Amino acid sequence: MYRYDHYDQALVDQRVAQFRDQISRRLSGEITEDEFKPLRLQNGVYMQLHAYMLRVAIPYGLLSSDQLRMLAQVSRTYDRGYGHFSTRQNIQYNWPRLQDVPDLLADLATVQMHAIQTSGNCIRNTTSDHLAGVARDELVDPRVYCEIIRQWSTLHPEFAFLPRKFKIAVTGAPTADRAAVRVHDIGVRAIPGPGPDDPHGFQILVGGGLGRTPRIAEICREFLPREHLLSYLEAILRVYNRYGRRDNKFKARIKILVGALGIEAFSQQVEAEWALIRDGAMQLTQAEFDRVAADFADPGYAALESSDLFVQSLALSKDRALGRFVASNVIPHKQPGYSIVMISLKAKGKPPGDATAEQMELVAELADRYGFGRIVVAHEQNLVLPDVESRHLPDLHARLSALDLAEPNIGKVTDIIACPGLDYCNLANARSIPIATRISDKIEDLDYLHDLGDISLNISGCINACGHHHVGNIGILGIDKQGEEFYQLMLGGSPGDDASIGKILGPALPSAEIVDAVANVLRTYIDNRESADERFLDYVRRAGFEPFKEQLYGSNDHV
Amino acid sequence: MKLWIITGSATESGAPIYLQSSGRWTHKLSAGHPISSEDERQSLLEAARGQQKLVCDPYWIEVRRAELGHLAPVSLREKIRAEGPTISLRPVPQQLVATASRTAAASA
Amino acid sequence: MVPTTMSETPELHPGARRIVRVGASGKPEIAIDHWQRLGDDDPFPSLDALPVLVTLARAERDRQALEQRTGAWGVWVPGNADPEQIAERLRDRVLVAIEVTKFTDGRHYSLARLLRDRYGFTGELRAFGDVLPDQLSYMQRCGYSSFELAPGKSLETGLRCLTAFSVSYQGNTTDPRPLYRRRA
Repeated sequence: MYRYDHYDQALVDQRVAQFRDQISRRLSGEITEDEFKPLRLQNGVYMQLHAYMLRVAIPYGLLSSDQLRMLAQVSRTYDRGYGHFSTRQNIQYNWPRLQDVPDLLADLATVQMHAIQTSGNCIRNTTSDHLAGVARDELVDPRVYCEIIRQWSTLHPEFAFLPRKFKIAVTGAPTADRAAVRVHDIGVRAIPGPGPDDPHGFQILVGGGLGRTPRIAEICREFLPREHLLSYLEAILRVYNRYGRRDNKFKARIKILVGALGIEAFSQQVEAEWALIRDGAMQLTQAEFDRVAADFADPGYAALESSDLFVQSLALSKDRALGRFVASNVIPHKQPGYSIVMISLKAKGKPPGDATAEQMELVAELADRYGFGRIVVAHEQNLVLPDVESRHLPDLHARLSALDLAEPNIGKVTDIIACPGLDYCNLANARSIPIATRISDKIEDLDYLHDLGDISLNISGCINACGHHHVGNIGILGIDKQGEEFYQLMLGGSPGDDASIGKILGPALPSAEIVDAVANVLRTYIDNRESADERFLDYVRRAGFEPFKEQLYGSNDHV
Repeated sequence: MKLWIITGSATESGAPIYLQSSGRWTHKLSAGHPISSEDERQSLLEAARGQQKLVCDPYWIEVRRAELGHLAPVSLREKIRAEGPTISLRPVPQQLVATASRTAAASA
Repeated sequence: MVPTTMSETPELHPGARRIVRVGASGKPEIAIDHWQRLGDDDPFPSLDALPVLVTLARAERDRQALEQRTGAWGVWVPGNADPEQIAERLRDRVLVAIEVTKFTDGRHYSLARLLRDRYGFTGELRAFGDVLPDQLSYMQRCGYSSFELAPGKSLETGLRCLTAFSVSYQGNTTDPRPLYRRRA
């Protein structure tokens, strides 16, 4: 993984010193809260219902075991012994005190971590595929480009006060988008060069996003040679900074500008701007590609036979806990003899994405023991051990089970993405976490869970859509109806290559009914699908909403 | 008759705090100063806005007299804000035990 | 030459103010400044030697009067101005001032950068309005060379903020090379 040199380290250390100075001026009264707010946000500090919240960047989700141990340690020293992994591959601490934040950040800086631009109207943490570097279907390792983008976007002087926040995602797998690039402000897709001997480049998508106005990104440029990546991003950002709306924060995202101009006019503006800068000093050099790529070279894999058959046999093991775990949480690795292991942070009764300090330390230890000391945070709020020798899977499963980290539900309907909701968040209208835990409690039968197959279920506690409800196969949106928590049910969303925005199934339901409604939807699918091979999403797309509506609202009680 | 309390987040910790009749701030909503006139509400809010070293983004919330005359917030948001998250913050030992036995049962 | 440095002029003339300015050496300093910013209907200052800043509209209207005054004249523009529309008319001015209406409105950063990098403006580029110490470093890197802070803001804090970082990933007006062309 990327290792800081003295430039990177100096910048992060100086950022801590700068924020320490800003916090002391806030506490002394030299700066007002209104002046301080953008400063603290660009250092990841939010104000939530009960306390400040600190969001720490995990660039493209990649952690070393030492970094994960440090995340555990700061949660004990400055917080309440746990952290929340977010849908943007970051970690959030819910209870830090303002004057402790500089020390916390200084501790993180010792392991090359920071909280720079994890919030605010600036370019946020660049996210990527959680299987980057190890997936079989990958064309190029997206992390190299993520790191190059991270450096370009960090403390960029021109783009610190954009009309609104700005999120970039990169995928290196042209046929398997696991980074949801089509629902980002900019989606970067690595694609093969035009000719067989041409180097790969990028397709640039723009204007995707969720929130109040969900929108699938459109193609801004079909093929961008890779040396122009940063100048092209700069051109998009400059057009957005100059022309994005600033009169209404709900219409300030780039998707609104793209929608208003139309993708053709928008991309013409970008191309015109780019033409003036593309051959300048921003052109990326082979030396820089090589320098960054060297840090993402494969670890020293042993030369092993394929373990595919072994893993398949484990999935059928008589030890059903192990079998289910392998069947749902283990993914084939590009390197023979190795497996990718997904660690679910969606155990029953637990807030999705939360991990205690003890759990983080165990995962760090297991990463050292079984997997070259690397851990990845997935945007689905799970952890990944990307490089496990397949023969260790049974031992690994046993160790994970001991700390409630072996829930066999990756990609299943209880692998719920949920925002913090009204339990923590200042903006929320309704709670998310209790809905998630009630749904996972409801689906108790693991055979039934696995029979349902792959279904994503995403919950947001308000229209800002941090729980990505629009792109869940099943989406739930919390709303406030005269002081009562109600929930809208949506079906048909998907974040991947077949990206689509879910549609509302019917009238919102009170909290007491929403979990039964989800169970009803699942039952309708199981009873009516063509076969076990027809995924939930495919069924919804084929059969439409009528079967669900009939089952759910058929009695006309709610209409 | 409607009742209100002035609240905000403590600058130092971000914790919810409530304005008392003494002019000081308290972490206990029930110790907050109930306001019944809109004029008083406005003047206290403006005074609170001048105390940025202590409090961030003050605003007023509606409260009611609950049983025994205690003050309680009207909205769910303010109830959660006053009482804390409604979920268990960390897995409790019983849950781990339950999971362990579920895993054991599943593998048996 | 105005503004003069503080040591030469210890007392403030009425209408003068202290600003933060990046000196020729690249080192930021506190300076006393005499530029008078005028609205379109404000009279010229009675002291003919005082330099003035006017809008582009007024520069066109009162061009002759401006040229006849002893004091220098510059132009002030809003932060959301289009550099394409105005750059030609600014090119020869010794000072251009950009108004920051709200510090969270970042359009002026692109304006400043384009005036410098694309349109070759070499005079003094000043920010005024809602200019806060914590944004000076970004402003300087976009090409600003002097800063009239918002009322009540500490110039000393401004100076400190300008030296907070010794390294940046991006290029800037004086050296367009990003760090990946400078790393050693």
